[in-house]
Amino acid sequence: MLFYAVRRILYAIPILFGVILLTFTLFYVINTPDTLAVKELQKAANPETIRQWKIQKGFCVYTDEGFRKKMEIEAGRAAPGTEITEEDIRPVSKPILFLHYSVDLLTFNFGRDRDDRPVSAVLLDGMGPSLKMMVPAFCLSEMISIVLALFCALYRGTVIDRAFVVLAVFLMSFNSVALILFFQKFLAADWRYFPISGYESGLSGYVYLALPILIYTALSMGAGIRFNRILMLDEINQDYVRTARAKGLGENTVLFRHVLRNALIPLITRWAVSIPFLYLGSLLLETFFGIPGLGGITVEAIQNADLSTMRAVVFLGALLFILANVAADILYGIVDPRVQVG
Amino acid sequence: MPWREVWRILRKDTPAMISLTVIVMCVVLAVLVHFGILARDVSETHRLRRIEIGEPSVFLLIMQEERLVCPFALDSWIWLLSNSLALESAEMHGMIGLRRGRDWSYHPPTVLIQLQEHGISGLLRREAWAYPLGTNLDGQNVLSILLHGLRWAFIIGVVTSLIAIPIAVVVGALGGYFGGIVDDIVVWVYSTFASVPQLLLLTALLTFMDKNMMNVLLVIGVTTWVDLCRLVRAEFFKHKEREYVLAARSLGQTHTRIIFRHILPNVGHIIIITFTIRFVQAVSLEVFLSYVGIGVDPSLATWGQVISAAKDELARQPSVWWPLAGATVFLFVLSLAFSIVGDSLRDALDPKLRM
Repeated sequence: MLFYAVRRILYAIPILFGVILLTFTLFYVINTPDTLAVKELQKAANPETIRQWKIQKGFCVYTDEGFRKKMEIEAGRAAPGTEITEEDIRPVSKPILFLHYSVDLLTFNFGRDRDDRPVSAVLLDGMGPSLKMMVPAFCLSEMISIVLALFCALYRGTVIDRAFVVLAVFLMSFNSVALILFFQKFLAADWRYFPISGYESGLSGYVYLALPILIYTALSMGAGIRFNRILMLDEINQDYVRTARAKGLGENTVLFRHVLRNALIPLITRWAVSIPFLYLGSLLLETFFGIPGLGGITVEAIQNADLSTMRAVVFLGALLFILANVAADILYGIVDPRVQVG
Repeated sequence: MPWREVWRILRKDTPAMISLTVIVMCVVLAVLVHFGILARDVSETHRLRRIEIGEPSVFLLIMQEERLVCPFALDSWIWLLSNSLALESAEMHGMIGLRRGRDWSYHPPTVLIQLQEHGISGLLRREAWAYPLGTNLDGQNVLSILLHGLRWAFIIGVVTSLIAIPIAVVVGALGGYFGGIVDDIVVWVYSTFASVPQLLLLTALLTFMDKNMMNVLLVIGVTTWVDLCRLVRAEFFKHKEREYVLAARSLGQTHTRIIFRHILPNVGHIIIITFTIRFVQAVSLEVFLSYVGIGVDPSLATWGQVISAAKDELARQPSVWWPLAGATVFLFVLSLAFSIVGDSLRDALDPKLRM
């Protein structure tokens, strides 16, 4: 078991390296520092600010001459008219940039965002609201979809089963952006069952979170029903079910005692893999409902082309995904020892 | 898999046949739009037509119980001006209100019915039927915009597949067929791609790129090949041990030939099933990207742009809900049709393959 776990963890390391390489390529190789700077600085972009930005983000460093000039200017000893120009800075070579980038990410040193706040603090602040919304939403949608899937399995092949399958396909075909817009418009703005947007800490904040949680459930239930139903049906066709029936157990006992228990194994895997998406919240729901969570922060960073926040969010998302997968595999290995051999 | 057999199974499957018909009709519509036969008035606006007449814009707003329910851009304003007395009394009774400026140059799809309730018809009838789904805030014909959106949806679905499927097939085939170190590299590459949550990967790429359709297509294409790659690799893994591959090998055929001529036709059904899922996925991704503001140029009439414009259209009073409703229905019908066809194809071709 220990061997299996260690092997699984070691296996994640090249993937983590791959993720760092991939995101480095995304941010630093495809784009030139100047285009990144112009995008992020927007209207404030001019040669001076771009130069400062490139130094702050580590794309460029001062040359010896440039550094001396800078120190002189800061100390007020420089000759009048001395200015730092393009010749006083030089670009950092790609391998060294990659090294800095990897070290920064692995030590969670994400730098400062567009408004000069430390990115890690901003993200930590956003974690609470995201989890506060996503954990109940996720639990609710999973619970409903598992119950409905069991229902389908119990009445498999009948009208009830088919009705839920049709419902699932219908729910999956709705466009999420459009559905959120309509729900917000009618349930919140027009009929006033829910507040339109806002956030409050503590339990009273759930007044604001009720509608997003409801929408999340509606949006994810379709896929949930489908996935869980297939899971249950797969289990029902297994030999142990036939054995259980053969020894005279009732259909309900078979379903709830045997099928549900065995279906828990793939379910746990699915839940573990969902963790990064819980952390991220729903990008769209948080923006629509003004919840100050990670999803909202991410969308804001996208709209502002905020390099530091973007790379932090992408890296953290990937890191969590990798960790969750390792955890899921180890869990799987514990509950199903056959996996360890493969 | 014999295709005639698949067709025989599909023909008995009524929902699948209906969905297939819907898709074919959508393709025909998209082609007609592409060649400029349908929906040519997409960039035409009410304002432009009024300028042709050479008079300032006059708009008729129909009021019902104090609330503005039906703002209507009146093309035949002459009728109004020639009946200034009727106009004044109508305004005094709160039945109509006059506005100037482009803010009111739209009308909802139900305009004809509401006009008849108020006893106004005739001249207006012709214009109302010209816009079955109403017009948007800029006075554009919503039906035309949505039909153009349909054309874009097919371009997005097909072009991104043309980018992603070859990558997935080649990479997956290499890994599954050769195994060993090649396979290790392939698994490493796709695991890396799969580790970054898809929306983040997509936005990370697009945030710093220019807003145009080419970039959106390219980025959706290069970020959505992993699922198919995984399936193709697994299938090649199974097939390379089969007798027919051994036979081909012992006949001295090249690896390229075995991969593309012998194994690929046997795993081709996976590509087709995946295409139906990918198509809907790519169109939804475009909507997401447009909404977040890093999608295509706002002047393009994609469904994503219609939906992201709806945020402002819904927030105002009275709200302009019909472009969003139209886009939602179009998207819903197309997604539903594709997923039904996809499911039926999967059942017919390979019942074990479930996603």
